[in-house]
Amino acid sequence: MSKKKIVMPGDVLATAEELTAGDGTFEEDGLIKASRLGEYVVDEKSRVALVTPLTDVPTVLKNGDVVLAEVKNVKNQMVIVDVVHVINRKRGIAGNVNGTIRVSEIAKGYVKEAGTEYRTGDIIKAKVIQVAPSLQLSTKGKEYGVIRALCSVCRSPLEKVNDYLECKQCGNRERRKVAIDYGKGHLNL
Amino acid sequence: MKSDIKLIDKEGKRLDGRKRDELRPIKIEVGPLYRADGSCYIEWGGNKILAAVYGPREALPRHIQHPLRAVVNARYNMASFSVEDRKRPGPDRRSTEISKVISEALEYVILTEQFPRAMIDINIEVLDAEAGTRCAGLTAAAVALADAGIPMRDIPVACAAGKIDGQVVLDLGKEEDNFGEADLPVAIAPRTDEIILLQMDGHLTVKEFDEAIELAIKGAHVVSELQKKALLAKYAVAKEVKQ
Repeated sequence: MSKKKIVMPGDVLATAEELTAGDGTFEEDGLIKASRLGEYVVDEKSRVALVTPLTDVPTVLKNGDVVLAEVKNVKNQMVIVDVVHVINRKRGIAGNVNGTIRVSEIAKGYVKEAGTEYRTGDIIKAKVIQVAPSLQLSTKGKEYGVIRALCSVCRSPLEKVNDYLECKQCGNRERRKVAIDYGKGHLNL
Repeated sequence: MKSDIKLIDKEGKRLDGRKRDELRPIKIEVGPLYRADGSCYIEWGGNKILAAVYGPREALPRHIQHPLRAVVNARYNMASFSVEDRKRPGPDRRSTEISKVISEALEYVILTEQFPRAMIDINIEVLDAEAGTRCAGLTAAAVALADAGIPMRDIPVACAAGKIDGQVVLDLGKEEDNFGEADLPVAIAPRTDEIILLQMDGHLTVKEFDEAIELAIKGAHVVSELQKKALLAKYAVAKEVKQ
């Protein structure tokens, strides 16, 4: 299509026989209609009607998203987290934010127990590897892992010293699966 | 309520000089609020209303979540300084009812099944009131939803009709609302003319009722064009600048 057409929610784009309804469209009474304000595009290869949004759209988690999450609970075989933010997105997350990280997805090497790598209250950077039927995250790779953690003795922020995290207040040393940018804490908001 | 006030003069002009089927002046601005996901400011005659949309986001407390669709939660609120006598702040019987009917009207057009377990919050804040705030509020909320990129079947729109001095007229003003015989706010999905909100205050005969609905729907279509123009003014122009 040479000139892209701007459409409004509810505008009729095509009939259901011509095309399939894609992103930003919906099917009703045999017609394909726009569900958001944007430009109407037809993917000629797969014959799918799309509306590329001009407005900001709700943030929906998808595979490969890099997210920030807070550790809520640590079990032997898995860590339960709440996803709080998607990197490079301003908007909050639509729908389920309750995810899990299996022990095998924590690091590249062998991890015996999840509790040796993460503790409740840690802020971690992770990658989404599954959305349905349940939200699954992974922290394999050096860019993923803890980006902020508190001392389990005195609750002051831990600092990265060589392979360990050290508490400047009480001298306590702890182990974590840390991300390469531990303590840098920029959220790209 | 019978009174001596003449609401329509001999030439058929109303108190503010409008004709029978004429709307008050309307100004719509898209996206005045930075922190909201979508927002809209509307001036409809003497009404000044801000609408803000947040979400879809995780519905809390969790017992309000619906496993198959999103919950639409509109909140209509009047500022204490929006009317002549100070309004006691906080929700009251009237604003609770308006919140409910607006929530249900908007829920009908939003594709809620795309966001299970989520909640869409819509705040409608009446800064200045001059009759017809629920219509203006719903109209603004609809634009704010489109601004937030929330998938919808249509952009809903509302307009009121009523009866003053024995005549059916469009879009009642303040005096007309207070001293007139009936007020009939109607919200529609303009593409199909489905009625998504309908209330009536006062009395109308069946014939007058049909006439009033037809007039209100006609008025709503005019407002609908203004909504689209306001949205295009922000987004189509912004796109040209980028290129």
